[in-house]
Amino acid sequence: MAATMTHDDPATSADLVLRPPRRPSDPRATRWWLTQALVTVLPPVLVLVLLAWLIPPARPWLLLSAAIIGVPGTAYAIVMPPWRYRVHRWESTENAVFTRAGWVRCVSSGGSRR
Amino acid sequence: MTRIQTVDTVRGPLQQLFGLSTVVVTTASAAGPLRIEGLDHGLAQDVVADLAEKPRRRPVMPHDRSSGRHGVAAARRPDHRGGGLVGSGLALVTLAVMWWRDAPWWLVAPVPVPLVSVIAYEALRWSKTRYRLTAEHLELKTGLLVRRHRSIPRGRVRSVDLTADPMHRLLRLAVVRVGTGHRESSSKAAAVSLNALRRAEAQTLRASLVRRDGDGADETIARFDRRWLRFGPLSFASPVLGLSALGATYETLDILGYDPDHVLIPYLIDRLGEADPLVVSVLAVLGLLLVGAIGALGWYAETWWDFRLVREPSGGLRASRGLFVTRSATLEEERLHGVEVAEPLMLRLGGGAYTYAVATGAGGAEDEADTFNTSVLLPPAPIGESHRVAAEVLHEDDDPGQVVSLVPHTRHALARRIRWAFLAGAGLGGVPAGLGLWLGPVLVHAGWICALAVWAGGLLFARDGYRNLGHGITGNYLVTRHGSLKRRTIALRRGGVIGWTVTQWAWHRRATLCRVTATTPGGRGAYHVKDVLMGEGLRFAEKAVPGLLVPFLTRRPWEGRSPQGYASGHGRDLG
Repeated sequence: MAATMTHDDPATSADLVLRPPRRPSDPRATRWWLTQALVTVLPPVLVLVLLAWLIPPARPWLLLSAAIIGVPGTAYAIVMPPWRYRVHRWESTENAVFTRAGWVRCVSSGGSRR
Repeated sequence: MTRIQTVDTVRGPLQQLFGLSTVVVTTASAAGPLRIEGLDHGLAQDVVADLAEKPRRRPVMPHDRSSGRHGVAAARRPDHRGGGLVGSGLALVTLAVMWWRDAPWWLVAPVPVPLVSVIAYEALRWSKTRYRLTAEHLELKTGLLVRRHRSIPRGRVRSVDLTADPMHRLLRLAVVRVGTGHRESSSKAAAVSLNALRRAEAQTLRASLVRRDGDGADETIARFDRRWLRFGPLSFASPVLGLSALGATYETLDILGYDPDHVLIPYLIDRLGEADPLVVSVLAVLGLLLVGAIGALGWYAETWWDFRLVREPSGGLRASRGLFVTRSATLEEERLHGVEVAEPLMLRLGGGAYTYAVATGAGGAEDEADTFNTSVLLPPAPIGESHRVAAEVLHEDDDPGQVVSLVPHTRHALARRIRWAFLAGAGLGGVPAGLGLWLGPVLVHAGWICALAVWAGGLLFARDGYRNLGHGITGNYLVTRHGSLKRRTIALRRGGVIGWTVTQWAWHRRATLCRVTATTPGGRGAYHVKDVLMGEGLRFAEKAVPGLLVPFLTRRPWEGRSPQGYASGHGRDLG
């Protein structure tokens, strides 16, 4: 490890935090995450809506199920990609690789390259 | 190329027809194996030779079939007698039951068919299996249609485990499982599994794979003590075993045609109906627990009887154990990164603990219950014995996990656990209560009783879990402790830590509550300091492994004023 911390530095500070890694993900990643979210959420909702259209007696129940999946699913698809884009960052130095990932649950990893 | 764990060439029937091969290279990387498909078979062998850093196509085995250390051991599974015996036994039992129940002849007649075909298949497979040990490699060829040729650099071998079930012991055989440091191969998929070799051959193989040099006697570190049997029933397995004994009795009666539904159960209801139901149910529960405790005791004896942990002259740690099925696993000492003392709740109340090694290639926590677990250093035993073995294994005067002064964690950790207990109780009680408003008052009562019970239990667990949280540094070790149902105290050599991970939920950002995880190449590969304030966790990480995180650390932008008042209030001195 090339760098060493000066002695008083970490021991005195209770406010030490990890700074964000330097480099963001590619902006296109947002669209990728959005697509992934839609691919997860849309098929079950569409199937349920289709069934509701085909089977009139069960229509309220099927639409209710579609809403139970669809409403949080839509919120997920709207909120997750930009949020995730703000969290995902990375950098690599001579000695270490430093990454940050996740969205609601943010995971920062610093690892020695050797 | 030092990270390569195994190199395989795989040839399916079509590939054999076209003279092609696929090369599969397993590395220590988590990204999974590398595949090179559709290579000319000759080129594939060159690639394998190149990747495995061995002289190309050298004539293997200079001293063939002599039992020289680096000689090629003769190939094969010397035994399908074992399979035959088990198969015949099963067939006999099946026939006996069928005879007992007067099965028609057309049900009885086909019974030997699967037996014969399985034996024939196994014999064929056996005849196509070869292994050999060269100066640099352990090699294994297997497969009928798809031929697989696996080579493992000897330097990658992390554990060698011998297992013998009663059948193997009768025939003087042993199964050899060789593990590399690759996590996936830690237990379920050992890199190479040889089933079975003659016992002497297996022992020679193990010795030549693990014991490089050094002569002299093994030094015994720990030896099974019969008094430890008292820890056997102190396991969550006890009630489960009791219930499964009940189930097994029912099933057996049913198979034999006694129809327990219409004979035994009405009889029992008749006889016990006159007695006090409270007495009957208490006695029934006690009976089940007693049966379960006896079962757990038997299990303990079978698994741990004759346990012995020795240090071999070369420094390897070898644990052997077992009453009917004997197992023995060797762990090279240089792979050892630390020791974990695990105390499941009931064992902890009884003053006992498990002791595990934290080591490259040894099974992690998920493998603890597995019989092929190379990381066990001590079965459930008195906690003092656990500390003694930990200290001795690490070459320290004291167990770092015992002498360290652990820093307690912030009250946020307690609040978090109480919140979880509250939510669990509200959820478990709320559902029946909600249904009860609709279906009837019985469910409402069930709901609130359930919620109160979960809250009471949950509060106890929350308090216990919070009190068990702690982290600290002593000498060359960092120590972390957490868990309530299973309390783990992990002492990790600071030099073994290769990275840190900080995990934080979005709603914990203001409180700066987070989980700091030390990453190692060994064991589970990740050891948590749970629910710690970020400043404190990062200082701990920095102090444990100076320099690793420095380039990524900074002060809060609002340094000096502590906006929530937590940071200064709970920043404790690590000294």
